[in-house]
Amino acid sequence: MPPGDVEDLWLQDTIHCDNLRTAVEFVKGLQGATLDDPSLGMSDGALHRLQNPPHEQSPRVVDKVTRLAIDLFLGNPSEATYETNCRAILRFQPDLDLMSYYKVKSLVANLTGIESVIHHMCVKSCIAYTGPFVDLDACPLCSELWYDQFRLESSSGLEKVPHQEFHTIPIGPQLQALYRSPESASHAHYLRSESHRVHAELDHAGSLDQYSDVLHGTDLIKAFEDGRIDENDIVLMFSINGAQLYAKKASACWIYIWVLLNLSPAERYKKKRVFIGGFIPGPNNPKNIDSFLFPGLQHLVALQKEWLRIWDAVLQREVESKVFLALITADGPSMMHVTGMVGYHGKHGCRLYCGMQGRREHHGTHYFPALLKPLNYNVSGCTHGDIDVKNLLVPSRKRYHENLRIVILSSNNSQYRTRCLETGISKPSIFSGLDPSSTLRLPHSAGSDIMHLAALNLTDLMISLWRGTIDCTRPDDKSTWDWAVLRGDVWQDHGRAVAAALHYLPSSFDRPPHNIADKLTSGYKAWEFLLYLYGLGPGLLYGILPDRFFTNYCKLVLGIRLMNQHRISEANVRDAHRALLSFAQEFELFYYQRLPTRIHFVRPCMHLLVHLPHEVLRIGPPICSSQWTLKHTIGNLGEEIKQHSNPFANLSQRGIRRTRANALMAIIPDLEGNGSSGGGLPCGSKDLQNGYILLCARDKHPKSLRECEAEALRRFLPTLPETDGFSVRRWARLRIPTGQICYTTWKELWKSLEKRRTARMVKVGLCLL
Amino acid sequence: MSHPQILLDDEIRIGEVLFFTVLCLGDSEVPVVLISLFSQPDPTLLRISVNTLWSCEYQGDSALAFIDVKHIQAVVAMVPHAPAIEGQEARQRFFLVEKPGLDVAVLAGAEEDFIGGDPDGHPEPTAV
Repeated sequence: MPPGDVEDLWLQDTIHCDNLRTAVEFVKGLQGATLDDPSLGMSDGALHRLQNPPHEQSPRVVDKVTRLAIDLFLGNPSEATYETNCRAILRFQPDLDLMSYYKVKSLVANLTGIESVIHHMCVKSCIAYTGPFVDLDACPLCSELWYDQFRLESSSGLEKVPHQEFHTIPIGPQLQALYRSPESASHAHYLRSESHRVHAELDHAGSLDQYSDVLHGTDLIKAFEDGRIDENDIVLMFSINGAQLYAKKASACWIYIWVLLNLSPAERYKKKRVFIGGFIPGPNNPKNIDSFLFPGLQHLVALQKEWLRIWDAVLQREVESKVFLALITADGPSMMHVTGMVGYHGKHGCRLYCGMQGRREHHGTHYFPALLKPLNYNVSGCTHGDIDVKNLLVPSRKRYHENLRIVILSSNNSQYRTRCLETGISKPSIFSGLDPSSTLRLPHSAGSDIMHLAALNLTDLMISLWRGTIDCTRPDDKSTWDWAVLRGDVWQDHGRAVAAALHYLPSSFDRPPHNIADKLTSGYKAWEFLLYLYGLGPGLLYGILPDRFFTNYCKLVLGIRLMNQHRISEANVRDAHRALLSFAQEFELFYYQRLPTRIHFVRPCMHLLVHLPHEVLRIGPPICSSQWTLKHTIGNLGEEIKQHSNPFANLSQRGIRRTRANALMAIIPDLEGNGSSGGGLPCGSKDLQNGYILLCARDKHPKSLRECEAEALRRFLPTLPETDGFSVRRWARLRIPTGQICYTTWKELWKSLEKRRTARMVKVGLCLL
Repeated sequence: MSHPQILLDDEIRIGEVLFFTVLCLGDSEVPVVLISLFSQPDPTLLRISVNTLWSCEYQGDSALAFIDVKHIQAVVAMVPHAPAIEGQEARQRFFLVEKPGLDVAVLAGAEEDFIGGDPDGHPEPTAV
């Protein structure tokens, strides 16, 4: 076997550890996937349709009554409200032949071709009965039967009713639906035009002057160049996350989604364009995630092998597409499950697999990515010298595969544990079962997730240092922590200052940060942390943090502000790199100070942070592959289900309904106007082109300028004739290309400060956006 | 009294919008905005904050300027503060906060709490 090649490892009978054997069984199961595999559970009808997509133009014209029923169905979340509305309409016009809820639901299912596939799962959420578990009667981890034993007995062995099921929504039919109308298909042609543009720019200029998409990173550019991706292909990103549906009770649930990179960044993260992949119901966390992902990935692999046939309404022909999986993203705990790495506390804990070695404290089991070697320190395995942050290794597929091979071939459990520690790998990822030419492959397909990194992990670290709440390991002494200044009245005053900024933050900034001293531990949201630490922080912490800690912190702010942009220039990458490297080096000198008791200050986020600028070159702006999309999908599905006796079943139903509604709107775009005011300009507005639109109110009559205003006008137009006075008709608001609405003192000062979110401050410059 | 200058090529300024209007000059319409320019940012604060603390003074009617509306790049926040800069007396100033470049994050309103951290209760709430 050539080193670095793992493909034929799956055939080996030399795997001695149980959990490895299971993981390998799943990988092998994926490799053998076919679309018509009965274990996948697609109905004959759905399968036929997937393999023979309808060629006709979408059913643009449905009769008026059917349209009414569809409108009512899309507009009403529940069967009860649908029926109520139907009754009201029938009272008005009794001869109308309105479909029942069941019928319209089937019609929508039929029009879209989308159905979920259902598999049994352990009632305690340990595993799903898929892949190697498919024929089992009981959970291999907790021994619970998958079916209801009493029902089986009372029905004399006839009825096997599952305790718990979960739904997977295959991606193929969702993609086919998107291409069925010219409107939505043309959105999905972004990948074609953008990859041509990128390659033309590279041919012409040699490099890109800015990065604004995953497609701009070297990894995908290379995949296009060597033909792994073709202009007809589908390119996806996978994203998984755990969520708590209700704040105050156990209601864990995992959701995964697909983001379609064929759509432009402006389009692909929208609720209506995000494809739901599947749900893993709780309330417990799944113990074997592979088994839950298996059906969705089985379908994906089958599409990679057999190709997806798509009727493209723009091209007016059938296209055969390979389905390429570019990136896998997840929050930290989920990430280690899907990539099979040891996780962030491991000795080699970097989720991008750069291989940097961590250090642990004398009595600790967790490793931390401290660059500098502590003084008076001899913990075995951690005594390597200082690491130069400028020379971190880049993730290497060769190293990953060599190490994975070593782990898989462990001959007993204790050797396995040693090898996990030394390689940072605990098992093969289920994603190893994908067609190797249809993915970036690990470790390159692992995303960095700037959402958790910037908004949660780094904020938690800095705040717990400044508040002095981070663990203090004796003989370290908090009284020596000269950075821990956010205590007592200073902290309370600071919290009030944060809250007081509210009225100065435009509503386009979304949720403003609450008083952080009051709310820090009770539901401070990711977005609030982000606005707090990287927006308000420099202004509110100046004069509070000692100077050198302040300047050090500002380097973090600068780096994250640059990395959080949608468009990142080459110069931005360099500036962010310099700032973040400097921040990370000083952080160790100022806070950790080479003290063996303070190794735990250097949390994993400090390490991942340093990788960010390089990640931009590789896979584009981190924001394009962040977890924000999934967070909002979970958020708005969670909103929809509200209180329900079986939230998990209901969540799946909501998800399927959402998927069908989205598909239907892609197929019949004019359904989309439902319930909203449509896309037209508001009444009385004036379109100035390029995304600038003047909005009401407007003066009915010209109003004369004050002298200082007239002077400003003369400076603007020096050729203006000398007259006694000028008068103009004023407009009150302007919409600008960012989508923000800019207000004016004229209209805004009518309201008292307490009642408004000031939105009349603007950044101006000559360079156009 | 400071006289506003015509914007320089690479210059970025912050202004308060008084109103918009459309000037009719011969046959063409020129949409303009009347703004009151904030002062240039304090150089000391800029330096020690690595350019992240952009702190200006409000100039009101003494710094009015008409400019083309298409020079407006973003709506920003100017938050009041009163820093004592290098021992000088503190006075009212405003610092700039821009919206993080996160349209992805604000596509929908609701946020859910994530399950984070590990069972050992390690302080890192969600891992990197």
